[in-house]
Amino acid sequence: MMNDDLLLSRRVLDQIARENIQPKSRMYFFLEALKTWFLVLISIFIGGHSLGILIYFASHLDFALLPLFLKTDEKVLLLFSVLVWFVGLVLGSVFGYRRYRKTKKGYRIESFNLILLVIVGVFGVGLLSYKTEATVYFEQKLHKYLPVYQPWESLKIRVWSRPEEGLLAGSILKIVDEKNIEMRDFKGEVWRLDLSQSLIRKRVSLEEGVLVKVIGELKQNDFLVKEVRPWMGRRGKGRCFYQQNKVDCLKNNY
Amino acid sequence: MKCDELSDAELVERVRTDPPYFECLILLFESRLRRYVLRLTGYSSSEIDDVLQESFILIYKNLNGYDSSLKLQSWVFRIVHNKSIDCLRKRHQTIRSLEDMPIEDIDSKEISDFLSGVTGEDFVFAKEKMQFVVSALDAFSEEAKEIFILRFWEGRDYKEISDILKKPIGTVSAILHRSKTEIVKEFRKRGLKNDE
Repeated sequence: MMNDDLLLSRRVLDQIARENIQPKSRMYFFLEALKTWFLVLISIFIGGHSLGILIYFASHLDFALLPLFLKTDEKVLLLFSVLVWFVGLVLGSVFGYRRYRKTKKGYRIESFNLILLVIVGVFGVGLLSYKTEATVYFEQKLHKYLPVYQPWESLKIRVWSRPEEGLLAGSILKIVDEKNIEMRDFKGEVWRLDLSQSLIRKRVSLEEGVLVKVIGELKQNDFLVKEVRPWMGRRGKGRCFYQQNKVDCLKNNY
Repeated sequence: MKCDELSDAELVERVRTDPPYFECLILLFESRLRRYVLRLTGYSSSEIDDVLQESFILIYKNLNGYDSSLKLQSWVFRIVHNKSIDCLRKRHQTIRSLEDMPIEDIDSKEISDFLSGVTGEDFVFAKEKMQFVVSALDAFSEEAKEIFILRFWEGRDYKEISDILKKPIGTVSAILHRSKTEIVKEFRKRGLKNDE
């Protein structure tokens, strides 16, 4: 047995000398660890960002209206983009989980805890991305480089620019009195709206410059308002919220 | 060279600065690893030599990646384990049947403690009963068998098994617990009593 031991150690040392085998440098391992962590973070970022965009989709309460007013190919694009972001969310989370396992001590954490950690990470990034409106920025960039991609906001503008079908949106130009306002729509047309018979949603703040959506009926040149909603669903704010001219801002961005 | 007087970190550092010290590391672990590869693969002596030679070259190349929070033995076993599994896969083979291993090699106290943990009874094993337990263990998945070999044949604790197989300790203990429950159930179904 002792001879065998010597034989094996001698063979190993001979091979090391013969082939001039050197231990990999510490820098190599450092960079490998860095690469793994980078992939963990990028996966969580992709998952989180996808979630942010899905939250952005869902937070627009008129989501159900869109399919009614879109053409078939636009509906396909819309469904496709929802699917893409959903896949992004799932893949980002799964890769984040798997990559974390490949970190030096990643195997030590229990699966349940790691799943929880990934969920917290993805939700954290998702909410941050949604709150900071990085989602909108990313959608614009994506549209710029991938014209086939239709940003959500652009679809929404098109849907809410159909007064003949009872859907109108724009920025409040002037509060005439308690029951009347003037609004400029996305095509630049100015409307005088009578709100006396309308339901005004709680989240709507009727102030100059605020973006609103209006549901009603077009009769000759007057638009009879039945309901006023905030432009950005539950959020009440948008990327263009702080801009002086919100309608132009939205039109230019999409 | 008094290799066994050096701590893990000292030994690795010594090999880094003075490569011939690697012989020390080989001699320190070789016999244990030889036994382990045999248990895992059932290979012949020359085949085990090949597995170990390739593993030690890998260990040497990765010396700077050694994480000093691990026992050196666990790290070395991990590399040898992975190399052995690679070799088995390349040959489209699976882990050796546990029934092919000499029954005397098994740690009967470990097995007794293992089963007593579920039932609260003291198990005293006759050879036939041990044979039954080994066949029952052999029916489990490859993943479970890796754990059984390390636990009952190699006598490694949960933390070491977790470090060698790169699995959370909870997973290791869950697999052991599940198998324990099933074996005890089978034990009772077959009417094997403790005092037999």
